[in-house]
Amino acid sequence: MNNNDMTDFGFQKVKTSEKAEKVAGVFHSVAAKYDLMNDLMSGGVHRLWKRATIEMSAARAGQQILDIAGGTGDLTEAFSRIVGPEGHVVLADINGSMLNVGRDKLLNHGIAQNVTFAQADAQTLPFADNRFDCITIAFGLRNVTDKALALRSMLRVLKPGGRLLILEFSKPVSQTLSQLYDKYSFHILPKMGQWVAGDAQSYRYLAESIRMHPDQNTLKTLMEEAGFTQCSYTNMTGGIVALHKGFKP
Amino acid sequence: MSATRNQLLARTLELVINRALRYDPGSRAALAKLDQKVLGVICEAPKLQCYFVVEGETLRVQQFCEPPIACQLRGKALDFAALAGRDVQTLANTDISVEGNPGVLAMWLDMIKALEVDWEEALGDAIGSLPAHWVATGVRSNTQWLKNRSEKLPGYLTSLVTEELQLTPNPLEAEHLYHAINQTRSDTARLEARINQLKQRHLSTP
Repeated sequence: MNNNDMTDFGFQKVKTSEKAEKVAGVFHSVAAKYDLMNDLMSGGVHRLWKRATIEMSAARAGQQILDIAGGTGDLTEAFSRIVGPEGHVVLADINGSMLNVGRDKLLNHGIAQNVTFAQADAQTLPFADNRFDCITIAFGLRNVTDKALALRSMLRVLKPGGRLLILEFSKPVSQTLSQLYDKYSFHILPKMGQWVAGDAQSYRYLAESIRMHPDQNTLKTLMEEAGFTQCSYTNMTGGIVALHKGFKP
Repeated sequence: MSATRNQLLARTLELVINRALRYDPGSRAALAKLDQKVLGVICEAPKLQCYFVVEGETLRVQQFCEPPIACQLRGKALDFAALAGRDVQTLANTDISVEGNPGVLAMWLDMIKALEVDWEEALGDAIGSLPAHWVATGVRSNTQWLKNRSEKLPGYLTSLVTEELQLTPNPLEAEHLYHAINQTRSDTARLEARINQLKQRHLSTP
């Protein structure tokens, strides 16, 4: 088998064509308990990371926003309020189960007027060129098979001057924190997944996929290579998470 | 860790301010005048930045904010803390620098000065109206007592000092007293010597 046809799925090597299906399996499994697990795993801190993303998006009333891998719709909900009736938010996710959970949650919160839902692959976004003022992808890029292709696709649908924000797990800057984080990820997280969601394997994949994801500077370089300018990142919680920002020239 | 910590601080501040504003309809209405007039507070030691953004009748406290920022204050935490204890009319003679429109800063300061939070209502929501009323009455009477005391204290101190001054002899009187004491002491010493002399003479006489 040609090594170029293989990609990472956590610490495993799988056929490129199979990764999307395997990732979909993980998220079908965790969709129902996704929000609860996020709160448990991060101690609620994921809300602060997402809040920083919203602030850094500088979203304004009337803007067009694309929330890729939007999952259960945390960012979409906030954007929906900011852009108002004149603006529009598209919640896109490749996974139907996650999208269903997100759609139900937003409808329960009374958000429907300025949001549409799209089951879409980040690598081949089904939107017109230069459509969005801002694109966000929170905790989704590491699951994408071809990150460079996805970044180019995002660049295409962004308006010139529009911004891309990538909120993603990254590499802790301190060695001590890194060791503690490893212990937590590989020993506690799968157990927590087993107890709460009844699925240790998916949460083991989560930890592994984080380790295989490019670090802060590598991702910044990937963004620049895809064509984004003024790329920068902000480390959060000691680099456990990084928020990357780039603009379409 | 700082970005997350600052985000937590900003969120906490936002919750506290908006909770307080719920009990002050006047200030909530005054907020509307500050729409689109972002106030930035940049603390250089420790590193912390907050942007106050008005959204309808609520306030958002953000860690990141894109221009335009109407007015931005820059200084150290101690400078801001020193400012908090004063009735601020101007930032002249402080170590805080102002960038942007000072008129906007004045509007924010006016709004803060006009804050009148109905804390009794807030307490009532938390513990019930009757207990809140008792607590409020107790706090108000104690506060009134302390206020009265603090108002009367300077007068009491003035009276005390005046009375003490009246009882204290002036330097000339004290000098006269010391002179008289010295004179008495030397007279006593001479008298003692004279008595001793007479005693000796009496003993030596056969």
